[in-house]
Amino acid sequence: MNPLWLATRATGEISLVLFTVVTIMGIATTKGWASSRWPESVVTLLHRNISLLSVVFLGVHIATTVIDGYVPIGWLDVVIPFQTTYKTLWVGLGTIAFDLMLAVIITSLIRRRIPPTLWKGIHWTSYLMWAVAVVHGLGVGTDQLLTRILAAAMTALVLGAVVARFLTPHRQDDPVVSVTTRTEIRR
Amino acid sequence: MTSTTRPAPTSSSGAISPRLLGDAIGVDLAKHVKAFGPIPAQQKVKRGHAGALVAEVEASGLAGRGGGWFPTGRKMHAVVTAARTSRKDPVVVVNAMEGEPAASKDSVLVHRNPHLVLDGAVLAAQAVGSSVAYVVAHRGSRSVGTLERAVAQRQGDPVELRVLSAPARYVASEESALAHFVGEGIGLPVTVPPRVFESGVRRRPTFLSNAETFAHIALVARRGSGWFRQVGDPAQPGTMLVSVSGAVAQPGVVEVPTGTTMRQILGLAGGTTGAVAAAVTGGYGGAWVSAGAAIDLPFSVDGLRPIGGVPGAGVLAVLPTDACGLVETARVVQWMAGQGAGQCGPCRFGLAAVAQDFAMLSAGRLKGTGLAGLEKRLGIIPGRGACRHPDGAVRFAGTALQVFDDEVQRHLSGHCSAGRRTFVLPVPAGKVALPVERPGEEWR
Amino acid sequence: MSGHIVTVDRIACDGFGTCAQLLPERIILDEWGYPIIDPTPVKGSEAQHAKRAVNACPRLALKLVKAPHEAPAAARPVAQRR
Repeated sequence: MNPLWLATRATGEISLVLFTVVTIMGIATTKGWASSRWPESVVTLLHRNISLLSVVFLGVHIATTVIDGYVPIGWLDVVIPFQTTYKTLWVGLGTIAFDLMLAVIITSLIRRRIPPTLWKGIHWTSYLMWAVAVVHGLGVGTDQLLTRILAAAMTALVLGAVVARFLTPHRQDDPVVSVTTRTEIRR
Repeated sequence: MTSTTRPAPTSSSGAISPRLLGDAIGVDLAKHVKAFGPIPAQQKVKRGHAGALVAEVEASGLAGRGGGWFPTGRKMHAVVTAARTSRKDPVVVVNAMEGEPAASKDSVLVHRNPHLVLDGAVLAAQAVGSSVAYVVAHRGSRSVGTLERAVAQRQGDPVELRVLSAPARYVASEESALAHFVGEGIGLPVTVPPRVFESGVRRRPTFLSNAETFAHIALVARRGSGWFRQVGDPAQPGTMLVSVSGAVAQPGVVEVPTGTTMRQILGLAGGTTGAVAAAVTGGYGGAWVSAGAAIDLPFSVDGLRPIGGVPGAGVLAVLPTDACGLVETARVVQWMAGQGAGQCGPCRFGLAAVAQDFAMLSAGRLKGTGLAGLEKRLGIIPGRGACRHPDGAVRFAGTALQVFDDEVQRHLSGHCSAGRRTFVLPVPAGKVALPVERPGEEWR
Repeated sequence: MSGHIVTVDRIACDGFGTCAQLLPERIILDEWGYPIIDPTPVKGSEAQHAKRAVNACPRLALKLVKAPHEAPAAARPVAQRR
């Protein structure tokens, strides 16, 4: 096993964990899950900073894959899916996940300059991107047991966060006050 | 509500005959032309240039009769300037919504003289360089049908007139909400700046004003600015329509020179039916005034300012002494809380909290600390919504606490001095935006 | 960014409160979680914090605008200061 191949696998697993954390923190931002030790601003800023960290690890994962001559994957295959002869489908899914991630990161960096609906629509595809990344890992991974355990754990975490998201009432719906409708104000 | 054609009382410039509420013309165009003369022809203007009428309206001193009392000529001029800099064709919108429950002047005017309003819309559109004028009234109101029938009678207007009906929500008649509705069908306020005169209907410069203002424009075009200034308060000249209601013998709409005193206006409405304590001026986003302090003040922006009153949308609702001002206010504020767009936290949650506080106060269940909390809330809500809806409601509530301060003290100890069994101020049955709970049992 | 004031788009604002945590010198929250903003222009080191607060808003509701020469028409006296 050459070191590049080990690096590819390791950074792949780490990227998945990091992107899972990012996704959960994104949900936390939306729902205002915060406490005095984890204030709102910290959650928001961590979400953004960890996503950039994830990109770094993903970058290494991709670079080691391409540079490693053991499997024929070229730079063009990083952005154009299903062109490899090696595990066409699974590698292709990784490419798709990467493309989606590029869209999310770039639109977020230029967020102030694009219509809010565009940003929001593309940001929603991050769920899809994460799911595709999980499947990519399962299909292309050669450490079957570790990959499966990790995929299962990460999926459980994200699914849990998603369920909690839907169970948390929207801030605006909180019955903060109630108002008497009928004019039962009597003398 | 009936309208009246009684002449205005003697003012400093003598008695005048009504300008807007003369004989009831209705939708018959021939009758209208016979009474007022044909609509004056105007020169076509290039985009970005103001027609001669704009200067005439500016010279007349006409101010918006929808509540803002903003100089109309200046607004028209701003629209023209915005059209020039943005290179977009302007749009004209006539607000015939009559959002105020205690007002009926717009529907009375539309019913009696729709063509005056429509003439004004056409003339204003020509003067600012717009090819279309929208006239918007509440869905389901009689005004919609009347306006449509009147438009159908007209031929050869150089401007296209379109009648629209908008959802009956108080906030829908707010300027940016109305422009939003005309442009995209959504009657919700939008963030300003930019203001509607710069970017309104579909981002075009929009001249939006109240129906009564347009009727005055139609007369200024025919008779000139000098004629317009002959009556009324020199700072805001001309006549105005006032919807008088409450403890008067003949509630309805009267036309008076601006600056006529409240005493004279009430006289035109048949006089008061007994002792009166206070009155609502302006509307449900306006201000309470004590009758004693206000009765001989001019009903105008400058005249009422010293006591915190406002002419607003020409609403004057008088409260008899046997009614409880706090209960009336509680009902109004409760309604106002549900009439917002629900887009801004301080309005949505703030007005609901104020409404609840007021409900407790009027039911005699609020204590001193609760009152302090209410006053604090009233202090932090204004200016923090996208539109002025919460500001108006807060002013209404705050002035009630001042004008009825004796009553407040009584309610704090669980009593009420009012003996009346029925309510005075009209409050439409409306949906409240927030979850509800059953009120407490009867008190006292 | 010195000499700028913080403004908020009231409709976009959803009361997250991130801004108040990052710029307590200018922003406090009312009892419902919405910002009450002091219209005094930010100066010196505050400008940096103001920029961070503006960028951190999850709804992008905040903006830094040039301070007008006279007090803004919409400014209301803030009922409470720390």
